[in-house]
Amino acid sequence: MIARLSFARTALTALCVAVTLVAAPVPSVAQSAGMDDFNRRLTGRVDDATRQQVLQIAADAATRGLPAEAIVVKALHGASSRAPGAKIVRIVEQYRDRLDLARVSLGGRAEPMELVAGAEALFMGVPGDILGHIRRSQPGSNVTVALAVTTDLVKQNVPVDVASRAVLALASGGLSDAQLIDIRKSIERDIELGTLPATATSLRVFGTTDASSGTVSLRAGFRQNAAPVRPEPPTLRRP
Amino acid sequence: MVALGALWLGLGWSESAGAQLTVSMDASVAQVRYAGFVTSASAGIGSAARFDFPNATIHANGLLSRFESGNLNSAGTIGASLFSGRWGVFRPEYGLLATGARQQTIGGSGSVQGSARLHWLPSSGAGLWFGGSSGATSSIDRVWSYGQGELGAWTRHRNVSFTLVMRPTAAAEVRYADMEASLRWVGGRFDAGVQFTARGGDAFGGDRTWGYADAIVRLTSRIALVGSGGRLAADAVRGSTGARFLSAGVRIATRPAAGQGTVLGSDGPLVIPIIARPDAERFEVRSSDAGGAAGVRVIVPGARRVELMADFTDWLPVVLSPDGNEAWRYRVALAPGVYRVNIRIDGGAWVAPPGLTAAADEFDGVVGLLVVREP
Repeated sequence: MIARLSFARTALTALCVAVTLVAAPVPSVAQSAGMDDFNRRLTGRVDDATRQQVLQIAADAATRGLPAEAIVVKALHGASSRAPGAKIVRIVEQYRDRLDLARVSLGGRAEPMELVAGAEALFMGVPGDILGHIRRSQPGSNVTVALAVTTDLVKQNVPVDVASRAVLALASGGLSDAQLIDIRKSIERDIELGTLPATATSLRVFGTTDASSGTVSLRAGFRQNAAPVRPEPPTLRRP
Repeated sequence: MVALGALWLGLGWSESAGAQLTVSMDASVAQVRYAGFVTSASAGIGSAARFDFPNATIHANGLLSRFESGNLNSAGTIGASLFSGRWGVFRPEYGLLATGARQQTIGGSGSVQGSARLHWLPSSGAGLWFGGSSGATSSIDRVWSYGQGELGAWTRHRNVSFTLVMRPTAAAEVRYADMEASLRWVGGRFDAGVQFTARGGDAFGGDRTWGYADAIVRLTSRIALVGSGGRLAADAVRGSTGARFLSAGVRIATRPAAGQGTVLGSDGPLVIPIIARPDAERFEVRSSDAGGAAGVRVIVPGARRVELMADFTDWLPVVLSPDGNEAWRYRVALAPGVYRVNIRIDGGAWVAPPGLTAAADEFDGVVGLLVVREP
């Protein structure tokens, strides 16, 4: 039995190696086509040396499974801001590293837009472990909007711990992306009307000014966004 | 100036994120009666160029006219306004202006001036300013210096703006004060304006009141019909006589044609366009399943031009198309995700669109964070 298991493991390993070897040239062809497109878009926008370095970083990102497209867009953003080439390269390298950290935090199966949203959150000061918590709170779901809402709240001067706890609580509660965005808008409106950012978030999400309670209050965040629903009668089962 | 305008129009202009250039050319016919002259028909070709920077504007215009007699008239101005940073609700402006004109049978005239204004901007919809300018004018065989004060107020509600200015003027031995009121309506396809001037003190030119109206009808994004008519005041600062005029023409521009419809040229205050750029009221993303084409839409009452630059435009400025009801649209299908976006209105500064969280970016700028969710 043990010998059969050992054989199966060896065969599986060999199969994986074979698949890897066969599949390896395929992404390189696609990558080459992508690089041509990146090269065309960067030409004339940044100097030649910067273009070469950005392409190298994008190729490196692609081999790591990161969205190279986002790397190029970041460089183009720098070009439109008239940033010097050296600064563009430095920023793009930092961005690739943030994408990498986002992937570590969100897991290897994270979608490219989740990684972009995660890198944005990291840039705005959201710690990497919070990204992981958000992912675990919605296993199997796309967490792009949850990450973006966290970033938004932090930029609205909501303390990182309050913002993260709020989004985690909301995400765990099974809210849709639309509901998350609605609550974010409500919080933003409260802040504009003079409520302190932390207080506005806690009140909307937890129904209390103390975010540490960590329990979502249905009286608070949802009261303007959802009509009252008659509870379903419990299903009775035969003993 | 005219040749330069034709060159720019011919070659086109690559959009830049920092500055915006507007070039236009007018071909027009007019019936003009200058004070002391008989009424005469003329045909003219004019050109105007304007660089808009976030805190400055450089503008130039020129007009070459041929009258029934075969005589040629030419006139041109070039000027710049620079705004320094805000001091609370105050904002200083410094300006330079040079003008020149030549009438074939009479001779030439020209003027140069420097000016300073202090704007009080309690809100984005109204303001006051005061200031003054001084300079020198040369006309035919005389040169004189002049000084001019300015006290003005403006207000804007959606796409209508109203300006009231008082200008006491001392030029050589002439002393007078003009009170000028102007009302302007800026629409999607149609702009119109009226201006009235009343003068106290020395009449200088005989009359005491003047007024004219102008209109622009945009046929396409680059071609418009322009028309104007009325009476212009004699101007001791420029050394120009008063005139009655009626004109009509066609304008070709590098962007949706704007400005006044007068073919006699204008070097009036630039304060309103640059400090009272309209604000965007709303920014929205439309998915294709919501009806109509997918894209982004910005509501900006009174805007002449709205641009957008974002992750999904490769950070190149794109001009939004008018979409009716003060809305501007850019067609793009956006996948769910997070995008960085900025907009620019009438050549002003790039700003985060309304309703989006504004965040500092890595390149010392500010961007709006757009979250697109699953439809």
